[in-house]
Formats: sequence, C-alpha cells, structure tokens
Amino acid sequence: MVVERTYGSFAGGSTSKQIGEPISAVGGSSAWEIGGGLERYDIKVDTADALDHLLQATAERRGGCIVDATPLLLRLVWQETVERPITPEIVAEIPISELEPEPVDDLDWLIANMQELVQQYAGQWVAIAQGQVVASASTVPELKEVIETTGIERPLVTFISEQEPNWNMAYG
Amino acid sequence: MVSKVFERILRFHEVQTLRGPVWVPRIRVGLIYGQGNRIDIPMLFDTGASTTILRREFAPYLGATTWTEGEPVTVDTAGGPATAYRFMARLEVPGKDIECPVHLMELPPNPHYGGLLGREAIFERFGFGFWESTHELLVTANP
Repeated sequence: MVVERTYGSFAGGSTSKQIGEPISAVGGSSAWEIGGGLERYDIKVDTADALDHLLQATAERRGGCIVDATPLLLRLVWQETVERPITPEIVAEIPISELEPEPVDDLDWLIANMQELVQQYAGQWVAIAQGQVVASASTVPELKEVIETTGIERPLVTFISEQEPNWNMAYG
Repeated sequence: MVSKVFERILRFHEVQTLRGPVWVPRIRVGLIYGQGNRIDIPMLFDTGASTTILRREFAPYLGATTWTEGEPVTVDTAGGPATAYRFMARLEVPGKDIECPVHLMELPPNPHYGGLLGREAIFERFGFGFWESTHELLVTANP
C-alpha cells in the first residue's frame, strides 16, 4: 500500500489525540500511517488519489460542506467503511466536541501545572508546546538557540520564577 | 439599540494572590522574529497600559543583545516612574500580524505573564467587550 503524500494537519502531529477515539484506530502521524490503519481493515487505498477520492466521495454524501475538516472526514470514512454506513440524522447527533477535540491550551496547562513546574524548573526559562515542556535553559539566548536548532514550532515561552508570583504590577 | 458582534471569546484565568483569588485576562501573543519564526508569550490584556510591555529578557527576540539598546523612555507604573527601552516588534494578536512599538522593562517575577498587551497600534485594530460576570473578554477583529 502506498500513500505518496501527507495531509497537512497530520504531518508530524499527534493525530490520535486530536481526532478522538473512534478514529484513533486508523490514526497516525502521517497519511502513510493512516493508510496503514485503513489497510488493516481491508480498506484498499493504494494511492494518494484514491484516498482523495474516498474523502471526497464521503464529503459529497454528507452534503459537501465538510471538505476542509480532514479529521472529521477521516472519522466519517472510518464509520462508513469499517463500522457501518451512518445516516445524516446520526451525524447530526454527534457532539461537535467529539468531532473536533480542542488542542491542548498551553496557557491552561501552564496554570494547571504551575506547582510541578516550579519544583522542576524554578529559575529557568521554559518552552511549552502541546502540554509539555519541550526545552528549558537558564537564559533567553540559550533557550532561543535550543528552540531554533531543534525546530520547535511556536512554543509558549515564560520564566518560572523561584519566588511567589507577584501581581503588584497591574492586577491584584 | 446598538448591536455589536464579536467573533472570539477569550476567557479570564483565575489566579491566587496574597489578597485572594483574582481573575485576569490572559492572552497568548505571538512574537514574530527573524525569517518568520515565532514564539508565543503569555500576556495580560491591560487597558491601562498605553504601550505594550515585554520583560527585558526578550531583547534577543527583538534583534538586540541587551534591552538597553532601545530608545530610553520613562513610563508610569504602580510603583512610580520607571525606565523602559522602546523597540519595534511584530506581534500576532489573535489572528492579526501587527507591527507595533514595545517597551522592554523589568517586570515583577511571575510565570503567568511575560508582558502586558497595551493600547498603542493594537487596540485600534480590534473591538473589545468585557463580560465580567462570566470572566470573558469578547473580541472582534472587524471593529
């Protein structure tokens, strides 16, 4: 089985977390892996064009209004081909939160994990991405170099101070 | 009857202070540098800040070795006048890429924010509404 190109939202992403449980069996970090998952269930997708065709045909049967939502399309492909054909009425009952789970909000994660971060990274600058610390350093120039050499994309950068957070500046 | 439409809702976050819990409007702001690289910085949405402020340590992301390479300016703070250094920066504030002045200065230690998002060259590009009872900041990019 060959799928020759990847699909943007899956390339290098943590797909199984983003698209939810029902599709995770055919999830992966690239279209190649997803294709491999489909193959396990005897769904023949021999080329990228074939996968395109499968996705497009599924979208058209659903009214053609969801062609950009690749995770949703894959879920529908899964349901149509592996589980069973589903009716528009059943689609309407699927909660949006199940179809498109929100990505990890690193701001929320920062607050929720502040105590652990202070214990582990006090006095350091950290880069956070997808709910984990992906780099740390004692200065911004050092952290900047690590981020650039490792190719980390768009991390949230902040300083984990050893002292209690001070809110006297603007709020509190 | 005036009607305003907002496309986005930014939630306030509850934080603990010595005076008890406070809800703060935090926002994730992109800082674009070099050849289109970017990092995000947690910032406080601050209607009281005339200009956006960043921690002085972010100077390398503005192409400077130290924060004092900027133009010195005096700014008023809750603790009295303080010296800041003015630079130009490219920020992404929800969905908009904005060229704007920023002041680098010493800020109190606090991992919850790396700067204050102020008015100059930014607020005019948006419409904002505060919904205090639900701790929400409403935003439109089409004011």
